[in-house]
Amino acid sequence: MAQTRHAVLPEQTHDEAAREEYCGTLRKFFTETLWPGTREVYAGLERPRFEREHGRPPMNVREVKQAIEHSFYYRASNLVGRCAQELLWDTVGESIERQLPALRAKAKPRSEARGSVRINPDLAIPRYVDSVDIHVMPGNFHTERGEDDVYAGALYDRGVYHFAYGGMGPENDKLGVAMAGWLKSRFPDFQPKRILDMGCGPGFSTLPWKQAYPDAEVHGIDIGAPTIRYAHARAESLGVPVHFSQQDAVQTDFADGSFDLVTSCLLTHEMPVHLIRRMFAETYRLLGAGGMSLIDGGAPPADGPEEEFFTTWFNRNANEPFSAGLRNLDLAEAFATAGFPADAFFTSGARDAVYLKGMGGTKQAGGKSAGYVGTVKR
Amino acid sequence: MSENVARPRVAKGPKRPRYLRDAELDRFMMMFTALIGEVSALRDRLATHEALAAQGQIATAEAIESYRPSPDDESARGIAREAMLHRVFRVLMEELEQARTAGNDADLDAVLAEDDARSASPVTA
Ligand SMILES: C[S@@+](CC[C@H](N)C(=O)[O-])C[C@H]1O[C@@H](n2cnc3c(N)ncnc32)[C@H](O)[C@@H]1O
Repeated sequence: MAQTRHAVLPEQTHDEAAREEYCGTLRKFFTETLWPGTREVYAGLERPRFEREHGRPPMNVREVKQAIEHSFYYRASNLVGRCAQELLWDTVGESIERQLPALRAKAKPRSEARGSVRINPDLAIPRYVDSVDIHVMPGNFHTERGEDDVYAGALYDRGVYHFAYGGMGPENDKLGVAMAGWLKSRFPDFQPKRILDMGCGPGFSTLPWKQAYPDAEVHGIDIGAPTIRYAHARAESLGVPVHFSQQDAVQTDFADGSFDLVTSCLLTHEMPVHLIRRMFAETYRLLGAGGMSLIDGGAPPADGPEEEFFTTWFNRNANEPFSAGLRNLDLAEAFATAGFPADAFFTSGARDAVYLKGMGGTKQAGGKSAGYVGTVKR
Repeated sequence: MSENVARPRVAKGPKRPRYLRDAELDRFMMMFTALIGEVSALRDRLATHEALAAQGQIATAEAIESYRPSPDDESARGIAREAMLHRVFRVLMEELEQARTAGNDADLDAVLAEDDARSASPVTA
């Protein structure tokens, strides 16, 4: 199964395609064979060894780590996972760099566009965005590599596809489609007229909202200009009109009460907790009465230190330093603090992960995602 | 002199200096996984040569670039890639196998001891 073609999707030479496929296979090998194996090595060899030495099982994450790090299998597997992560972006990046001028030209906004794009060259890039390249993706989502740049968007589109070895679907949108589908079936009478997707990236989570509510006006914002330009060109080419703008989710330029639904997907796990709180306050300001906020709940709270350890690979190995903060944040409390009525809080409960990412999120590891979390403004 | 003297393969002199530190092995794994990628890409290219040949075509650079693997061909390549990774990283799997069989295996020392004991005692009819 290949990615759905659109105007700005990078092309591959024979060998570029082969190298990218290899990266996907390496990711799969790590995710489905090596990493689940670390649990077996822990349970069969390293926890028993720790117990023999200490007369008790490991009691916290540090001790679990100490116990498993005795294993060569663990250390080497971990390293292979990191190698796959780095190699993926570099392999995809080399191919995109070669065709970047052509991609920029194809991404230029056209007068016949049905959606729109707004770039804000004066937007302050938050320090947390500039200080760590999330997922070890060099340049992150915001670094400009020249005029009208779309590099980061293209990199993420191709990269995520191989990262999930196709598991996100031909349009990388399985998560967004599942989220919109869930909201529709849970609240069949809710008919949002204006929808905002915060941290929209290349639009994988944004287009599904327009497809689920064709009459709604759908907006997507992201901190990264190259990502937003790419998202616009991609959406136009796929024939889904969306309004994209480069904005900080913590403070936008939309008017009070201008949306019925404010949502985000895979955004909060990349943000420090104090800014998640400010984003919830901004969400409250942007919603009208009866308006809804809906986010993905990240990874479910871990059941004990061993589970905690085996489901936080990305935090330790793939530059997701903020994901631990989200995991410990009481979202019901955070929404209430932002002004939402405490009794309006709702959650889908744990769900089978659509995305393999959590690893603990994976079916192979028997994991779940925390599902969706939301609230309503009165 | 009729026979060649075997060529020396170790140079006399100071011991080979020590070059790498432990953490530098990590970077070697980076190079190693990238190198497997090159081998894998080469293997795919070869598969394309074979596929073109099967269609009676000559594998010019152009023909290779415009070749699109069929879904069957695609999944065969994926399986071959995975099999290659399992072979290359075989040594990693040792501990995993141990973990899976922990406690189940007969202890070789015990088997040998038993064998010793039996061979020491006279064979009874
Ligand atoms: C992992 S991506 C998710 C993209 C998309 N929602 C999806 O599900 O595929 C997270 C995105 O959030 C953006 N982001 C991070 N902090 C942000 C902020 N404060 N305001 C707006 N976007 C932000 C990043 O630039 C990145 O594109």
